[in-house]
Amino acid sequence: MITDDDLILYHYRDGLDASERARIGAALSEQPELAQRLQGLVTRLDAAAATPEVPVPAHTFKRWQVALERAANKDEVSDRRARRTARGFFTDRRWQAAAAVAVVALMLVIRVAVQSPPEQTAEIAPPAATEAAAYERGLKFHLASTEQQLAELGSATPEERTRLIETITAQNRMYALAAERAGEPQLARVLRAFAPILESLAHGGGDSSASIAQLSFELRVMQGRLTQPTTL
Amino acid sequence: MRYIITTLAALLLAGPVLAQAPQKSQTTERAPTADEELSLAALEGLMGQSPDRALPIIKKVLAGSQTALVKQRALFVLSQIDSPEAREILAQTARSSDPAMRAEAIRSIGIGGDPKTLAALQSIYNTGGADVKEAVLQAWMIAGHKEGVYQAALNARTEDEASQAIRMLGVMGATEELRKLGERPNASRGLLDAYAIGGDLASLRKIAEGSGERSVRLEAVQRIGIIDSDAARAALRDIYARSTDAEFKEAAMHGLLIAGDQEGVLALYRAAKTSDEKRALLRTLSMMDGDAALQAIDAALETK
Repeated sequence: MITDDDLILYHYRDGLDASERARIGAALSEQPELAQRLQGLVTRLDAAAATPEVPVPAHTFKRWQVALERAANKDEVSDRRARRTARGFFTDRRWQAAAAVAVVALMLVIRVAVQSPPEQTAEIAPPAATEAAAYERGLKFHLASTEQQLAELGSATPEERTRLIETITAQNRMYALAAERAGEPQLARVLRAFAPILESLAHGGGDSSASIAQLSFELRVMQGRLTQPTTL
Repeated sequence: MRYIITTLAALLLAGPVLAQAPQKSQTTERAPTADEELSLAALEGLMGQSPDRALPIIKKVLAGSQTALVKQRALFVLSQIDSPEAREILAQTARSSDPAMRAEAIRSIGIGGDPKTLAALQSIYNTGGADVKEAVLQAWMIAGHKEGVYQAALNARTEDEASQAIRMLGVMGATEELRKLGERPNASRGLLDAYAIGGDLASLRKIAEGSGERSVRLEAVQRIGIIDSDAARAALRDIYARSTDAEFKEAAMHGLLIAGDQEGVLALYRAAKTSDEKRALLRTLSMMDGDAALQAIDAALETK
């Protein structure tokens, strides 16, 4: 059983030991539905990351502060007791990462609640255009971050390099699937076209500057295309 | 706008003059030079232009004396232009005698995804050498053109050719096409890998329990271990338990080892009736190096 938390930890390369990573990696390559689940999570996280920062209103901020202080006072005694019995629970990197994810998710929920006017809170299904925009933002982020990761390959140690290429390949596969599902076959084809080059980067031990340069060029072209959708 | 397009055109056409070394078919297995970088930046800039403005410039680049590397990148940009003329240029270049340009044009046809141009790759595949065939299969993979790859597997003249096409079908997740190939007598080993990668337990089991070549059936049993699912692990335990053939038992045990199913091997170990069988299963458990192995070793030593 692979949970969403496991997938997120796998994606952020945090809190999982080598055998767990290998198990999830193998499952991802063999189970398209699992890869789609990871892709869904990453797309949501990427879209959230691309959401512009909006300052929290003063009264909301004050309310959080009061609530946090109250909770801190109330839990101080039980915390001490709990620490005695469950020491190590939150020193585990898995739980730290899971807690971080939970905090990010909570912040996002709060942000959405703060940004939405009260009369819109009952709205359940967002319009398709919003989903498309979220996907496009996620894809732009993916293209830009892939370009940046490729630039880092030159100075990476062999282990870091292997890890980076694995990450790029997995993300690329997810975005290709997402593009197909978002009704963007042209983008899906371009992303699939990156796969053999990434494969050659992963397996080619020698000078890979030609492959990196080609991928970087094509990533920039696609970023240019996404920025100006009404041209080519 | 006019100024921008003029500048882009000037940069692209001036490229070889700046480089002072125009070459017809130099290798592109290298990073671009500083002069080429400038031309490539100009090509990127074309993405901001309309197709009717960008296409003439790309045509000039392809016909001019830019380096092979810049021309190859121009083909990629061309794949982003949705026009019959762009597709025709790609189709022509796919028949070029220059291997690097030909390969890039074939790839760009895959990226373009036009059904007619993709179908035209069939004749290039049929008459091409190994490199061309691989490029065409990749183009079909990029385009998601399962039928082309299926036909290539179906009409393959050699085991290698068939395996290459079948592997591509596996990458594409073309379960239906792979099953159709499996219905033919004497499934190839490439097909077993594709089933395993695609997680198609039913097809692997069908071959394993069928009446085909014995060695292929044994390999099919082992490949089940690659599928990471409870159903696959249960299938391997079942094959092991039901089989009376030592080689099939061994293949199932290898499959369980590949799957890392310690609990499964431990259960078989406990149910084993002969000491030979127990010994073989205990060895497998030891290789798995987990808690189940320790339990079994403990138990084995305690009974002495």
